[in-house]
Parts: sequence; structure tokens; C-alpha cells
Amino acid sequence: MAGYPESLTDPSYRGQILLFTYPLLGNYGIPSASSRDKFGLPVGLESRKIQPRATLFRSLTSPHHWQSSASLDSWLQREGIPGIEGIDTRRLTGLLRSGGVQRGLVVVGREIPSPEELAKSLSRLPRYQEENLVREVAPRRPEWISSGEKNRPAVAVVDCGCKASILRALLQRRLDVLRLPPGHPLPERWDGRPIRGFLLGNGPGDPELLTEVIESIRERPRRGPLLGICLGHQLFALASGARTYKMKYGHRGQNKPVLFGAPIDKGYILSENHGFAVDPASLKKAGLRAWAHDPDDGTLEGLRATNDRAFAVQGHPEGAPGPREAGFIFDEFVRQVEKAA
Amino acid sequence: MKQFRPSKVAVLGSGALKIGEAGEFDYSGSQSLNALDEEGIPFLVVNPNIATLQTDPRKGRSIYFVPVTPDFVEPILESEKVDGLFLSFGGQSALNCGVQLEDRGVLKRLGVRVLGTPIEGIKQTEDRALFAKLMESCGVPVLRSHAVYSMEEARTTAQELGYPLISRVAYTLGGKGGGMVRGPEDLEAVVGRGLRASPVHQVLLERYVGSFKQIEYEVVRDRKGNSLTVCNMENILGMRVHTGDNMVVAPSQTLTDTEYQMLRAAALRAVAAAGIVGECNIQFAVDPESLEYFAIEINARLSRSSALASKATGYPIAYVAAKLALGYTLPELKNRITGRTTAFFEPAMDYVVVKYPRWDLEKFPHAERRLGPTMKSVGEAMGVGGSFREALMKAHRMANQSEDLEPPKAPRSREEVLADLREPKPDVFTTLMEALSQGISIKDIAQVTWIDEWFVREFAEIHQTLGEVGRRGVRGLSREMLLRAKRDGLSDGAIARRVGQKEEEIRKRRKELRILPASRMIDTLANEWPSRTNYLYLTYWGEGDDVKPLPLGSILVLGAGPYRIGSSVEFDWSTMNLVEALRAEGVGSVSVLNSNPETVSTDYDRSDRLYFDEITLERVRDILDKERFKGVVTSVGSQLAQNLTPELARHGIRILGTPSASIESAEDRNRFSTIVEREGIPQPPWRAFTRLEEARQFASEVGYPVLVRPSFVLSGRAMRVVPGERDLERFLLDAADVSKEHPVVISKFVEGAMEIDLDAVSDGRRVLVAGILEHVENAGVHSGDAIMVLPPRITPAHVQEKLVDIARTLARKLHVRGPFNLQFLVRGEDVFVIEMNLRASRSLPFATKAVGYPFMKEVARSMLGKPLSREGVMMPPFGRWGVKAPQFSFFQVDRADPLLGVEMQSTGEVACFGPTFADAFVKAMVATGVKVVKEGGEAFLSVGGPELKERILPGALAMERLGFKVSATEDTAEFLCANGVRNVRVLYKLMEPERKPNLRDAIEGGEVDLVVNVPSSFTQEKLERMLEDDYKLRRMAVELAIPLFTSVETYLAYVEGLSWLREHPVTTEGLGLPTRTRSLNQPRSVDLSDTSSRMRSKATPLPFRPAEAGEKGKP
Repeated sequence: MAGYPESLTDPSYRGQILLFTYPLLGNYGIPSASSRDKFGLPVGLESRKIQPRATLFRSLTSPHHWQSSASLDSWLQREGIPGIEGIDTRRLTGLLRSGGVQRGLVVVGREIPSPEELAKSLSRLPRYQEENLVREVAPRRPEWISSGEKNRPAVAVVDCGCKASILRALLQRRLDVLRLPPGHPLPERWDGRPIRGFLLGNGPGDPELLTEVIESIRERPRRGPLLGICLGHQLFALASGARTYKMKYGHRGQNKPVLFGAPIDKGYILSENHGFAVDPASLKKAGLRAWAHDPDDGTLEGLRATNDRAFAVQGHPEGAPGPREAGFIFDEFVRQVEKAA
Repeated sequence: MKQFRPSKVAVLGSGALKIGEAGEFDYSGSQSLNALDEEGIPFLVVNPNIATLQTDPRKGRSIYFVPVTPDFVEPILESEKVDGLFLSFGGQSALNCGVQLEDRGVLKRLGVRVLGTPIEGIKQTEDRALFAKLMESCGVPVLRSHAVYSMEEARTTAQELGYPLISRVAYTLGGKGGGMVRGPEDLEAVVGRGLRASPVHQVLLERYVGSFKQIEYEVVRDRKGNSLTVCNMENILGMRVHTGDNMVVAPSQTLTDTEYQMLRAAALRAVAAAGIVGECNIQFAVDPESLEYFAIEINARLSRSSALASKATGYPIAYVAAKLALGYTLPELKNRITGRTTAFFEPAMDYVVVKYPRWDLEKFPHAERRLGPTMKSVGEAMGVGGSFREALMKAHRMANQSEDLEPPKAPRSREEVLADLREPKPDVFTTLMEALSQGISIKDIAQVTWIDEWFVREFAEIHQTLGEVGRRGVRGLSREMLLRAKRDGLSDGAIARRVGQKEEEIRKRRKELRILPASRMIDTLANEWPSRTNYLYLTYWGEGDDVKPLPLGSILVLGAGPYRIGSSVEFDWSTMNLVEALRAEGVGSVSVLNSNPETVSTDYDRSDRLYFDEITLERVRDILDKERFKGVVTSVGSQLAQNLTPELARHGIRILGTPSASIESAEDRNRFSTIVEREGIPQPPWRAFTRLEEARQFASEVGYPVLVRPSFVLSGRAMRVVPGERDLERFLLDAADVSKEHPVVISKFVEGAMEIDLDAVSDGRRVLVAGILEHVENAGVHSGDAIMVLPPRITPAHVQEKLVDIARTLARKLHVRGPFNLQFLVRGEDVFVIEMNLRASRSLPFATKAVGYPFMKEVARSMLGKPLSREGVMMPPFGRWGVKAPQFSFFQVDRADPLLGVEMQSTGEVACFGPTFADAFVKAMVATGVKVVKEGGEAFLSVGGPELKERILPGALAMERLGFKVSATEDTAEFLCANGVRNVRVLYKLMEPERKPNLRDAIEGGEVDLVVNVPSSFTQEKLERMLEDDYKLRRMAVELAIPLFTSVETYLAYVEGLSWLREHPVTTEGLGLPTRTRSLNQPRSVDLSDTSSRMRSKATPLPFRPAEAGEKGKP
């Protein structure tokens, strides 16, 4: 429904074709791509550009909103991202649900090639699991972002394509943030400032491919505090010795139920976007325990280290798009960081 | 995991349907009963609304048809040993009753627990001042507002806040009594009215934010604090118009994710702060140009909006809320649509839903038509579509079938259109189209209407498509163009009219071009999970159907569409009862088509397949093209469904039940009268005509007054009693416009006659009569507005027999195979037939429940070609009197005249039962909001003409005898004094303010407790000023909630009730123990010879009789 500018700029969608199930798109246009909040992060967008390779939707409408700077259509054109309008998105959703997430091809031209030709073109494409999509969306060098507050602890974010809203969630909680490119060693100090905690952010692709990142997490200078979100959840599990697997269809939407165990003991609706998940059977050996799960299919949605000083969630507590009431996850992380300081 | 398991639960209903509290509470109540049934918890229902499904007698539940007030509910709670109470499924009425029970200490004394949201939470959300405090405590902004308790306080506060202001009233329905205060000049009127309307004399003044967006969230929360929003909704006309009168779209269309989540988070915080357990609705005003917003109100109960949200998403909100109230948590409950996921999720929609209100303001002469903060609509239609436009057009078409994009009758100036846009009225959609035709720009329209520009652009797209269809003409209708038109929601009919073609031709062309709607599931999860739901809609935005056709032998039942005056919850009752009866008779699969979200029939688990779509010829045929239905039932879905019969039959569709030809014969008054005449059945002299001259001649032959009506009417629209020649001429110019295809009929209006409804079923040979229903009022009051009584209290047995004979004759003659209703006029021995409806009637639920026989079973049998399992005349069990009374909503409709007539005006009904007519009657009055006059209270009588004065006299005498005071206008007082009433205070007319004591002072001073105003409307040449004076008096009574009677007979019955109460001292502590309805399960069929003796003995010991009853009632 709402939230297409955020979804389209979410680096986790890198390399994918994004299909919207809600039939109308573009109602409120897109916010100005150049506007920045006080931390220098984009407003209403999760990164500076459209991340999916193509988008599919049922119909575009003519936008109106006080924050709109352009129509979705003109934005897609400007960024050179193809979009297909007028297709039966519900039917396509059904096909993807039953057939699983699969590779797709957007063909531009007047003639539709034969199925054989299409199959051939498709087979020439790199497989999603094999692509190093993280490299396309991650920062190339470390970057320091100040919360603007004095005498506040700093944390490092392992940025494999981290959403701006995750960074903002930390900055708004008055933490200084060090953005690190994936694979960069996790430092104990930076420019003389101690790094009190680590956040492993979201990003695209198969976590198992990110061996360097997993290694860097394993080698981190202190055991906590650590918070993993989405891909970060999987990376933390892998670094601890647990296993991940590819889901048939994944969880994608703003309406996902997650039941948290102690100390929360409550359910929250979360925004989720993951095609991989952590195998709960592999947790024990890794010194982890299951913390949250999806009541519909039992998928592991959150885990904690036995000492509680590191924890991770599969969903997105920052919302954007989607619910933000699971902000208590950031709060707990910040509390731990403050305690460590 | 449950904490407290009640041993017996009382569910409070919402009473009669009224503006602001309608059929949605049958939906929510019924779902709550399902939840209780599932848990095996015994329960009882308190609800006088006879026409609801929740009051159907079933095993394991008792039903109390009594007013939902503490006086009545308290003894029930006590005698039934209730320990759990459901307050949130019966609207504001139930909530108010619960709060009063708590305040009186009843709940504590009886150890009754309120299940779900605790009373404390309810109070915090109901009391505006507490609400503001609560919201501030959880960081949710509210409008700066001040509770005032007097006019003086109001003036000071207004000065502080500045104008414009809005005045809101605590504890009322549908914003009743509220209003906009533009400046100091409005203050007195608006705030004064609010103070009087509020039971706690509290009015809240706040900044007027009419230009803001109005956004609602439906929140579900369990006792552990798990919460979610089922969906949000956006009101297209923004804050300026009450949500009940607004076009509403779900989900919101113009909010960004930031805005959506900001409001969602605020909603969850607010709901947690209020401690809601179950469901609630929260409303926000949102600045269209910044992130400023305010929480406006929380409804800590199921509401019209939650019914809409439930139908829009497929999430069974009321059922879930009931389970949560019983102690379950959300993750413990299953999503019933998928069967595998839990109820703890937020539905995802891959379609758009639009709700469009149904107003019936033309039924209310003088009524204020401008839309604003007070709700006036009587129903609504929901459209589900693949785009906003498709959904909107569906909803608009269903709500206003007559205005399917018809161009305006007469062109208006730009200024006139702009003025209408500035102050929207029920025809707002038509006005928007008109504005676009006039070339008024999108920006200008958005600016004057405060409608978000996004919506205006969507309207403009529809307008453009329509224009292009017209420009291209029939030749230019390419596949692309036609598909675009259909995707924008245009009907075949609207397209046909644009290109000057027949609708059938467009349909043919469309099918040739393979432009066909696809069936789509409403599955709560946008197809992300496989689902087995049978909840469907059709759209032109899909390829291929979501479901396969049903097995052969399935039946489709057409529902009644949006509630409107003349067709409301009673037809949902007949629809659902028939569905169940057909199944019980062995039909394997029964589907329902309906477009009204305020219904039980649109609960997807009530039928084998639910099509939530339009009840139009086009759509029914679309569905039949997909399915292999054995037949279609059109006789339980009110006139709307019935009207489709001839066309459906013409297209080869099998109509189950009475043949289409018979229905056409009965509908066409001309043809029907011929049949009646041929059978030698008396009818008032009548004639069909098309020319004024003939009419005038006929009327003077039979003598005035005459009844003038066009054919194919629903609830008497444009029907009128005409007292003389001049009025006839004036009226005919209007009526001739109403119906060109069908001739207009004039009949002799029989004065002083009683009207009787007869409800029955026939299998073509035998007839079973469900009830012979006497009207309390004399003929001249629409049968939907009349008070009905069962068993007949005046009509002698041999006259009843005549009626039944006529019913048998006509049923055979017309080959009736299904339900039918006959209307008679009875004067002494003379019986006249006035109307026959070959469908389920409004009074059928009343008759069925009064006699306690599953009548719909016989209807199902007759439709399936089986013989009736019994015949004869049903009678209520011995000693049970039933009275059905109309509910009016005159208070809500500003300036509406409460005078009753041949046009139906009531919005709902109740029925109560008792050991005597008087007992049942008084309860029915109280249940419709007519108070019992306090001891020593004063009755004011203003009656026109000597004949009416004569008839009212026994009432005045009796009142005086009972110790009430009597006052009257000069003339009436003179008559009463001359005829034995000892003390009559004269009150001078409103139009003579200088003469004291004046009526106005007496009424405003609270000295008058009852107003009887019966103008002699049939007298021609009435002084305009006098009519105006009477109207003002009636309006005052309505606005001050003083019982008002405009019919002599009703007043006399009321006095009879007062007298009964005197002899049976049960006044304050519950007006007599309510009737137990356990015996409703015992069927009784009695032949007439038996009942007649019984009735005589039953009917005689009345304290006194209306004057004319003797001549009419004696055998």
C-alpha cells in the first residue's frame, strides 16, 4: 500500500525484480531525492537510488502530495529502471508463491521473443545466489556520522547495503555511527574513540557468500553489544556457527507477525524482507537461542546469544516501510551500549 | 489461555436501526454469538430489534425483546444469573446502558463482569475531557478543546478559542446534536441543542479542522497487549463530513508510509492507554500540508467502520473481538480464511474498497441536505475493485441506482455548481461530474471541496473516460477503449447511454471482444498464502478466475443491497434464513450476492460462496456466466432484487419460486387490479391514467381524498394522499415525471379504515399464513411506519377468514411459490385489497418470531417445488401479544417533519411481547425512545377539525383520570372542556408569541411531557401559517426528545399503556418482567374457529376502547 519509495530504494532488493501486490502505485509521488535530514541521510528514501532492476505493478496513478517532488513514472525513467504496468499482479503473485522465487526477465521491444529464446536469455543470466550484490550497494570506505550530541558512545555498522532508517534509528537515539564497508575489520577504536557496539545491517543476497564479512564478525574485538537486523541476523548466526537456508518464497511485506520470547513475551507486527532464514536446529551448538518466531510457518525471526549481549532479528524494527513499534529492539541495543560505555 | 470463564453471558444489542446505529450491529452481534457458541458458553441477548438475525431463537440462547436500558437489563441479569457482559457489540446504545449499569452499582451488586474493554476504558474514551487527558498521557495530540456545561461557559470558551468551532456532544450516536459554529451568531442554537441532547449536559468546543483529512484505524488488541491495525480508511470528503456520510476508501490512498505509520503508532499507543481488549476505532484529523495531526475520537466498541473494515479485508473483527474478550490472545486464534495462519497479522489488500453512503433525504420533507458533522445517511454500499475508480463506481451505483452517471437534468451555472461543491449534499458525486463537465479545473475543485487533489484527479479520469466513450461513439469502441471504460468502473448501461445504444448491445460487443470480469478472492493476504476462501468479487483487472464453478445444483440468493428507508435488516434476515432453510432442505450449495457491508449475509462463512458485488442485471448475469446455478432467488432481497426478476427471466435465467410473469402482474398495479377485479375481490376504486384530464374526472367521480401512486415503487416514493383537485394537479406534474413506462394509478382513499398486512407462503396450492397484522393507526400511514399488533385485537374472526380466503384465491391465481404479503383495508365488514407483494415482507421476521415457527423452512420448500408441510393460519402462543413499532430518526435529520403519512420515514423497528397488548405496546414505545410520561406530567394536545377532536377525547379524559395534566391550544381546549375534561390549560400557539402562557415557554421550560399533534391534513385550503406552526411544534418536540404522537390511534394506545402501568405498578424498577421467549420454539398452528374465541376473550378487557373501535371491531 504505502511505502513504495522506501521499498524501491531498499538495497536489499538489489538485483531483483520487485512486484507490488497493492494495485495502485505512485499516489503520493516521490519525495525529493536531494533532501537530507540533519544527519545527511535521505528523507523518505532508504538509499540514494532505485535498487531493484525492474518493477512490476498494476497501475500508476497521477500523484498529489505536499512532499511530492516528482511522479514515480518520471523517477523510474530518470533512473533508467523499467516498470511494467497493467499486468495481473495477483496472478503473478500466485505463480511466485507456488513456484517459489525465480529468475525473471524484462524484455523491451515490440516483438515478444519465443519462449525458447527467453529461456536461453534467462539461462545466460547470473544466478541470484552467485551474484555479489553487496558490492553494488555497500559503501567503499568507512564513514563517520555524528549524532550531533556531545559525549555519546559510538557504534560501528557493518554496512552491506544498510537502510538509511536503520542508521537514523541509531542517530536519533544519540549514538555516533561508524559505517564500515563489508569485510572491514571491526575496530576496537576509531580515531581515538572507543567503539562500544556493533550493528549488522541488512543487505541483498545469500549470506553464505559473504565469507569475509562473517570472518570479520567472528573476529570482532568484543563480544557485545551486538545487534543484527535481517541479513545481519543471518550473518551473526553464521559467524556464531549456525546455518542458514534459502526459503521457497520468503517473507516480504509490512504485515508480518513475530512472537518474541523473554524478556519481551509479546507479539509485534514487523516489516520483513528476507528470502533466507536461520535454521533453528543449528542454534544450540552455536551458543545461541531462539528468541522470536513467525507463528504462521515457524520461521526463526530472532535469536540471542546465551549471554544476552548479542541479539538479532530477521524483521525490520525501523519499518520504513512498515510498522515501527518494535523500536524497543534499538532501545535495548542502545541501553547495552550505554552500559558498556 | 483464558483467565475467567463466565458461566452465562448477556449480549446487549443496539435496538432498532436508526441513523448512526444500523445493521452493522447485527453483523457484530451475530459474530459475537458465534464466538460464544463455539466456546459452549450459555448466553442471552437483549435486543428489541425483531428483524435481526442475532435475535433468532435458537437452541441454548434466550432472547429478550425489551428496551436496552438499565431498567430492563438489570432484572434480566439478576434472574438469569449472568456473570459476564458483552457491551461492545451493540453500538452506542449497549455501551451507554453498560455505563449506566455500572454507575448504578448494578454490575458490582450482581457480580457481573464486563468482558473485553473495562468500563473504565470505555468512560475514558466516551467523556471528551477524560479522552483529551488520556491522549496527552500517551503523547497523542488532540485538538485543544473545552467541555462546557452551560451557555455562559460556551460563550467564554468560544471567545478564547476563536471561530470557526465545532460543537460535539458526549454520549450520543452518529454525532447527534453536534454542529459547526461559524460565528457567535450560531453559538446559541448549536451549543444549546447539544447541551439538551447530552445525557450529561456536556458539550465540547474545539477548533474546526474541516479541511483536514479524516483517517480512521481499526485496532484489535488482546489482554496481553498484542495489537494490530486491521486496516485504515480515508474519508474522501475529509473532516468536514461525518464518516457515516462520507465516501470512504480502504486502505488510505494519499498517505505516505511516514504518515501512515505515524498515525498507526499513535493509534496503538492510544488504544493501549485506554486498555482496550477487543476492537476499537480511532479517528484522526491530518493536515493535508504538514505532519500535524490530532486524534479526534476512539470508539471503544465495534462500529460501522469496523464492519466496513471487516468486510473490506476479510478479517472477522467482531468474532475475533469476542474471542479476545473471552480471554484469548491474538496468536492463539486462527486466520479463518487461510485456515493455517493466525489472527495475529495485518491484512494485505490487493484491491481497493470504497464505501458510498445511501441517503434518503427526499423522504424527509424540509430536511437539511447539506452534509456535515451530523450523520444523515441510512445505509451504505461497498464496492470492491481492482482500482479506486472501479470500486468507487460500483459503490456509487449500488447506493444510488438511479444516478448511474446520468447527465444533469438541467444545466446550471458555474456559480451554482461551485456553491454546491462548497457545501456538499448527497448528490456530491453527480455535482463533481457536473463541475468537471463545466470545465472547472481539478485544482479549483480540490480547493473548494477540500477533497484531496488525488481523488479529484481520479474523478476526472472517470469523467474523461466517459467523455471519450461518448466522443468515439459505438464504432470507435475498440477493445482497448471498452476495457478502459470497464476498468474505470463504467456499467454497460452507462456506456450504452453515452453511445446511444442498447445495454444489451454493449454486453454482446464486450463478450465478443472477450472483455469479461474475473472472479477474485478477498483472502486477507494478497495471495501470499494459499487460501480456501469463498469470499469473492469481480473485476476487470484480472485474467482468469480465482475459483472454479460450483457444483451443479447450486442456488444463488440475491441480497437486498444497501439499507435504505423501506428496505433494511429485515431483508438480510430473510436472505440468511432462506439460505439456511435451503440447506436444511437438502440444497448442497447456496451462494449469496450482496453489496452491503452492514450485513450478516456478507459474512463469508455464512454461505457456500459470497459474491460481494453489485446487485444489478449486468453483474448477476456476469456471475451466472461463470457459475452453473440451478436457479436464482429474487424474492427475499427486497424490492431491489425483486425488480430484477423480469429481466433475468427474459434472459433465460431460472427464477426459483413464484414465476416472473406473476411477479410482473402483481407489480404492475394496472394488471394486478384487473386480476383482483376478475376474482370479485373488492378493492378501492382505482384507475390508471396518463393524462391529467382523465385523472381529474375520475377523482371527482370517486370523491376526494384520493391516493395517487406510480407503479414499481418502493416504500411509497412519490405516493401521496391528495385532498382536492388543486393539489392533484400540482402533484401530477411531479409524478408523471417519475414514471413514463408505467401508468400512474389513482385510487379512492378510504378514510377511517384499518389497514392489515397478511404475510404468508404458498406452494401454488396451499397457503400458510404467518400472521394477520393489524395496524394500530388508521389507513394513511405507510405500513412501514405503522405500529402492528399480533394477534389481531379488533378484527373479528369472520373478517379474518375473509382475508385468508382472498390470500388463498390470489396465491392460486398467481401461482405463488414462495413468500407473499397482502395489504388490506378493512372498514366494518368491508374488506379491500390494496397491494400484493410476491416476496418476503418487512413484517415477516416479526410474524415468524411471534408465532415461533420456522416459516422460512416453508418458503424454502415452496421454492424447491415441495409441498408445504402445513397450512392454515399461525397464531402466537396463547397469552402472547406482540407489538411491532417503527423507529424514527427525525432528531438526526435537521428540519425533517415528523408527521407520518403514506411516505415511509422510519429507519428501523422493534417488537416487544407481553401478556397484554398494553404491556407489549408500552415496551415497544420505550424501545423506540418514546418515554413514559412521568406521574402528574402534562400532555399537550393540538388537534385539527371537529372529527379528530371527537376521536382524541377519550384519550384526554383517560389522561385526566390517571392524574395527568392536560393542556391544549385554544380550540382544542374549548372542545375538551365542553366534553367533560375538567382542567385544561390553554397554551397559545407558537405564532402568537405575545399571548401568554405560550406553548414555546411551556415546552422549553420542560413543562410539557407529551405532545399530540394531529393536523387535519386532508382539509384543503389550510392556512400556510397554521401548517408552519404545527411543523414547528413537532420539530420542537423531536429536538427536545418529548414523546410526540401524530396519529390519534397511537396516542390512544399509548394512554391505554399508561393506564395498564397504573394498574400494574411496575414503573421505575423495570417496566414489568420481560417476556421469556423460551416458548418461541413451540410451533403452533391454529385454525380460525379456535383463535376467534380466544381472541375475543383476550381482546375485551381493555381499560377503554378507541371511539371508532366499537363500530369496526364488533362482529
